[in-house]
Amino acid sequence: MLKVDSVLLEFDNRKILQDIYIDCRPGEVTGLLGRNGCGKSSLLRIIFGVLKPAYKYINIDGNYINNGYSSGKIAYLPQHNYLPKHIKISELAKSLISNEDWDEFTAYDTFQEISNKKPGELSGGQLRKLETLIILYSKADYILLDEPFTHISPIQAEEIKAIIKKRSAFKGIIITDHQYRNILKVSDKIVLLSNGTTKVITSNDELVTYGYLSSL
Amino acid sequence: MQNLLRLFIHFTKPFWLYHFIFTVLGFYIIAGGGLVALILALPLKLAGYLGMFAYQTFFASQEFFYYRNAGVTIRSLFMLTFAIDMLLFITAVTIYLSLKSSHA
Repeated sequence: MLKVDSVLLEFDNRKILQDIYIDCRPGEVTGLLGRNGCGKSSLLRIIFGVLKPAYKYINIDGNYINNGYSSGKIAYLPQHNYLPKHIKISELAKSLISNEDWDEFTAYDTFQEISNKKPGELSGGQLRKLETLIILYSKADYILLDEPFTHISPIQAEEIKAIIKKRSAFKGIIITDHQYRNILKVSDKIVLLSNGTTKVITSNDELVTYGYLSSL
Repeated sequence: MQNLLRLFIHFTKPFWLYHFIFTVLGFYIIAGGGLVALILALPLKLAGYLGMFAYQTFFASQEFFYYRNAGVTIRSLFMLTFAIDMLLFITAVTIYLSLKSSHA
């Protein structure tokens, strides 16, 4: 199980994150919701290990993790495109996809149609879908998805949701996006980030109570 | 190890020509001035590394996430790149100077 506790993040003496607890276990999708600028992406970057907070405690199965990505157990889909533009997609995928999942990954039309192209040759939607697929089939046990539904069409979002559910059978997934309906649909558990703290949401009505939604 | 080699090739590929040009320039300086000219050639190579580092950091830092997702730190990729390039440069210079002295 991935546990993230006691994160303290400050910018210019302003506390962005201060009372954080979030956990995730393989077989589970945790949806992270919150308003613009509340620190959702910052929290994911802290877990991944590319943003240094004043304090954090992250462990996987009881073992303290100083840097998520170098442990090889955490993969992260950032908000913006991350694949190097000058390398063929089939080559790029080989470094991230596990051997046991390779056949299943390469069977997707998303991959087959573009495997001989380079990321710079794809449309925004194609690239975003491919990047999400690569992260979901990566070797890591825990997956952090930052806005996977942004820049893709509704039909692509449906496909991505189905793949997230499929992959969550083997992996723990933390997902955040402003398209909250997609998050509610795909998640087993919802955590709201508000005023720098996390709150586990037990019913959708609480999203209104805590001011994330004006109505359901 | 195979994966690290693949990542290393991906990371350095856009800069092969760039490093080759700095190597040729460094070689040219040493060919003209001998071993003493290393004092000029080495800073030139270091300037080349600084240029690559600055370009990657300012214009392609989003791609760092790809390598991190493969479990590799960016610092280790830069260190490996510079170490291998410098090793190749020093080896080439050593071979050139020993051939030159044996023909003298």
